[in-house]
Amino acid sequence: MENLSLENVKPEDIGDDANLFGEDGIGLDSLDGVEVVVVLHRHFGLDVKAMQKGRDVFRSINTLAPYVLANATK
Amino acid sequence: MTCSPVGIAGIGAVCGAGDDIPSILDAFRVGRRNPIKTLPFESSIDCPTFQVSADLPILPDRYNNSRTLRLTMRAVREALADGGIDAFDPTARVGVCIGTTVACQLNSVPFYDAFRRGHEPLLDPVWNYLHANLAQAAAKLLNITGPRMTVVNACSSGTDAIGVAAGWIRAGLCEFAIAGGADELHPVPLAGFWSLGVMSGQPCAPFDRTRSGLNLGEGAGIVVLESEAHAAARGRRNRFEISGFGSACDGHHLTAPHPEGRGLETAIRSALAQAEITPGEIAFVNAHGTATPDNDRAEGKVLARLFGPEVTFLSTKGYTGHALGAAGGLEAVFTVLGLREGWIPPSAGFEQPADDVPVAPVSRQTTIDGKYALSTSLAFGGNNAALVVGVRDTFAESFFPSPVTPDFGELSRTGEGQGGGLEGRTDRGMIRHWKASPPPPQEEEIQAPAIAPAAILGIGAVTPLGRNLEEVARRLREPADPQPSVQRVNDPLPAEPTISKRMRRADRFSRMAAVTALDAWTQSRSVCQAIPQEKIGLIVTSGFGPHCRGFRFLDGLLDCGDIAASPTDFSHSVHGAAAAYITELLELRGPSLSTTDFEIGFEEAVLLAQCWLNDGTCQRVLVGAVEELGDVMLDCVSRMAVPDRPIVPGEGAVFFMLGPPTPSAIASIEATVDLRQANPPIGHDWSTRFGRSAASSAFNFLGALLSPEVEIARVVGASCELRQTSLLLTRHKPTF
Repeated sequence: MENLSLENVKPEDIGDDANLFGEDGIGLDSLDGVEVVVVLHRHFGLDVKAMQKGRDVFRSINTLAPYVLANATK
Repeated sequence: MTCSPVGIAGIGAVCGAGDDIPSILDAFRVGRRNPIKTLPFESSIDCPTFQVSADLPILPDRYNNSRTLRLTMRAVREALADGGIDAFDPTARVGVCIGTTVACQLNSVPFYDAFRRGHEPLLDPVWNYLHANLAQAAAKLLNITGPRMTVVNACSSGTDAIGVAAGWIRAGLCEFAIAGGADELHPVPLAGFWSLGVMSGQPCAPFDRTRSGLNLGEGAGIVVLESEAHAAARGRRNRFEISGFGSACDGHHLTAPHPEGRGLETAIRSALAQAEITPGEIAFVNAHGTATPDNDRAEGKVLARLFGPEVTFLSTKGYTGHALGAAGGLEAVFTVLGLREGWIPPSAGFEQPADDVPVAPVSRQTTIDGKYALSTSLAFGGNNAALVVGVRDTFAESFFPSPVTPDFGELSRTGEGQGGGLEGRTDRGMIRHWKASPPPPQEEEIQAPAIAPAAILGIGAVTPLGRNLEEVARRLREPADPQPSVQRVNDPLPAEPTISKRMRRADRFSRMAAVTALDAWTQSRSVCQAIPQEKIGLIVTSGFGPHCRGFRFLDGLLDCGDIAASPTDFSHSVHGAAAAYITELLELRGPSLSTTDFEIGFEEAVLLAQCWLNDGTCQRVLVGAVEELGDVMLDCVSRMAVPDRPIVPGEGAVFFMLGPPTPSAIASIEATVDLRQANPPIGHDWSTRFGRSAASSAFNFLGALLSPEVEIARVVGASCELRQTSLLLTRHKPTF
């Protein structure tokens, strides 16, 4: 929340299957997308280049969580 | 809207494709490019870049030897020689407008690293930064007196700078103008673009099916522009001209281009209209073509829409990399060369058309036969610029049979040339051999530009005395509190929820600018509503820019490594971030320009706004100055302070909505230039109340405007050697 400066949005407000990006979702944009990549690298050691290639994994919490668990090195 | 074309007297360039124009042409002739895998500095980022290996001039001022400035002067030297100019005659006014990105920022990583550790680093990087503003340094080196401006519009800076300079000449502000762009390879933008995920680990492939991002490059591209009258007077007819220029913003997003390229289309149409030609008369296009998926797709769509799917075009970034501020300058030079030589090289890096791009660049050397060519640039923050270069039908041979070489002395190979240690080198390669113009004779009349003043239609300000102007005016009339040591602004959060949501990632710098611009906009709404969107322009000037966010970016770089720095911090740390927010919030579609010129920034911005209003580029211009204070700057100020002359640093923002002169306006503002420095200031110096900053002249003007008894005031900006700019206020009615 803090990294993306999402005021007034609590983690429990974001449904597991909700679209993170785009107008019909939580409303993150492309800049948030690349910021999330960096945040995930810093916290979990995920490879930046691999994340930049596989953008589908960022669609929702449900798609992102297994990816992080499977690839975390921290 | 017609306009007289401006002649191109000379061109010069240095980049990864070659040390000068002949060697660049050699590379183009055989389609050779030279991406280099090893970076010229330490980094964990693995990517090719396009580097300059040429000898660069050593400049006389100890603090003046930034690589970017040395690249600039090398290209300036070639352009002047090309134009047969070995000295400017004393009555000619010469303007300088250079675009850049890195050179304008205080981003020395070792300096900040030492500062963070509490080591009190030497202030050399700060002095270097203060002395290396490109336009001011170039003007000083060449001893010239025309307008000067450093454009920081990210990737379109070089093209924008040429457009500005051409406008100055048409307005009669100068006879010559040196214009273009320069940038050096640097670890900070390298980490920044990497973090945005737009950089490729392979040599770039613009418009190609497999394109995966840009490569950075460095260099400088310079054109010397000349008025028709002056060329005729010195017996020379310039064969090439700037036939037209257009600039327009997307108002869409801080880092992504508008997907359909709406701003680019507006800019191109505007440039074609100015040149009075149809798209069919364009012989070829030098596209921006960075090889990012988004840019090439959006730009390709615009090219197809305007010129048809068979348009002849190329991207030269396959040869030069993306040289950021230099790109527009280099590409203007390459556009002239295409017309001059009668051919363009294959678009390096391109092999196969892409499904998502409706056009394909030339894949082999292509003969060019035509009178006009177009260069396009798209920038972060949604700035788009388009330049039409034209060939004149008939031209007589110059009376000067061969180009002269300005005597710059021997260029010497050097190390970094930055900061200290020029001992032993002072006799070689110094620009002091340049035949500087003598100062204009004393009896010469004050050079007043024949440009109408601008009417002030709306005012916005965020100051240490508050944001409500009536409140600020009241507090100015009261005696000052015991002198504070620093004047800060209370954090201005935009109150309106929709705006504060869109500004969630913005820092104090962008917020101060946005809130202030919004106030000026709101106040002038009733007289702006009927104006077409693309006729409202924006100019934002800042000496130090969003440096606090820049240091936050360096925090991430130092703490997490250069492959894990924050792209949000990076994109907000460039000067153009504030303008990007303003164009998005106010839905602007006209020209948007960010500039940096320290204490003369606001005067030159107002002068340019007057040009835009007078030549029809705009019907309204929102002009503002923004400065912020932060820990690093306060520390530097206190360490640089002279004990018996204390400075009270200040911060804040001032914006005016300007329009053509009208008696119903509150007041008019006029930037005047005085080469004899004879005009005394009229009015009070308010810097004790607002604090001192690079925006002090804007604040002094505001102070005069908010003082009801002031009918006329002359706010004198800083004098730069031979040129003093000032702002004349003429009141028509009370401010409140």
